[in-house]
Amino acid sequence: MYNIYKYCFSLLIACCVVTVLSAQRNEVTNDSTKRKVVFNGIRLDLDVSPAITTFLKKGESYSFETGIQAGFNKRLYPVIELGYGGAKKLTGSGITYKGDALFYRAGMDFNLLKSKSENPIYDNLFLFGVRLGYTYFDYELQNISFVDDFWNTNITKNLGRTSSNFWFEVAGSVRVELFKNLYIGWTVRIKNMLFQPDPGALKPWHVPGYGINGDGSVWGFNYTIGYKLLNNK
Amino acid sequence: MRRLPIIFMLSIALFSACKQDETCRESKEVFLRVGFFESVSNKAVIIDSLTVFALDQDGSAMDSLLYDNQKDVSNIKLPLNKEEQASLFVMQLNDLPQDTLFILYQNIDYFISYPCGMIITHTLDTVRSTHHLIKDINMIHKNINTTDVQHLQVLL
Repeated sequence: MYNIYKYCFSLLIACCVVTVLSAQRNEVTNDSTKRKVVFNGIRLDLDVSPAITTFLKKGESYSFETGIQAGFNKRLYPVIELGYGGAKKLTGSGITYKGDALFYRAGMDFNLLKSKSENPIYDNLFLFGVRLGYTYFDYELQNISFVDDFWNTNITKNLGRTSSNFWFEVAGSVRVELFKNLYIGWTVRIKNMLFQPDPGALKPWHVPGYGINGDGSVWGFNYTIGYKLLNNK
Repeated sequence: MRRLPIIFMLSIALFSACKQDETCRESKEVFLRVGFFESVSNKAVIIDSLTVFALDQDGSAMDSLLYDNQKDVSNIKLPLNKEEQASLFVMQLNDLPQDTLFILYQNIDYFISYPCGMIITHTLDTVRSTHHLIKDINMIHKNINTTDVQHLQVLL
């Protein structure tokens, strides 16, 4: 576990260093001798899609999240996302799954939209980026049944486990400045779990922030309302 | 800008439509698989007539027979008791005196998937038998799970 933390922390530091160096390369000051990073402000995003998705999923799983994203040189947008998700589900095998937790994501977006004007009236963004997600939580499995018709046995077990999960995301986003400093937009993301348990070992049915924990990739969608603080266009 | 709510609704419907498959497509059958072999040549033997039944923990015969005077048998599948760590099976080959197979094992919980649930697999410890017709038993594979491999060779 320590090695995983070390690896992820190193990755995050590397991303930050690359960001700063990249930003420095693109901005040249008037005297052409110094490079500088231009701060474009911080935007707070609230995901409003759970108002509909929770209803569509019949309450089997839920996820609420918010994010904070800074802008540099109108190109680089480091982001931190925090949320809370969980699930209570009667699965096809009759096992009842229950688990919920906080989740965290950190990553970097790149703005692919070039503004024609140096200081546009509205600040619209078309972002493409990556995230590293993490959650650590307890989950319960109830009514695990082992029926044997020949020996006339019926064993029922209830199990509790702790799960630690890292996943990687590739995300595409659009943010439109609706009014001054008020943004709406969406993010679509594809997620892949970094580590899978050994064959035969239990795994959670749902991972908060990741989604249903099947064998393949998972798609995610957020619809956000955002407000820009410390606006420095 | 007026189209945004429609795009929003459609996008959410699209991504919510990705429903997980709830059908179990994996095998859940866990059997001890036994083959019959000739002790000298080690060639597979076909038994003309075979009857197999299990004994419960009290030593009395279970109600149902696993094999009832089955013809032309070269291998059999035996279900091990998941509540115990030992199972007893009685075999009668070609109307000859009965032999009893005594199997000691460990039970292991094995998670397949949420549509399929969990099964109990086994790891063989010891296999013994009476020697009316059975000369010896070779343990080929110790791990008993859903994989279709022969675990024991009964030498006649």
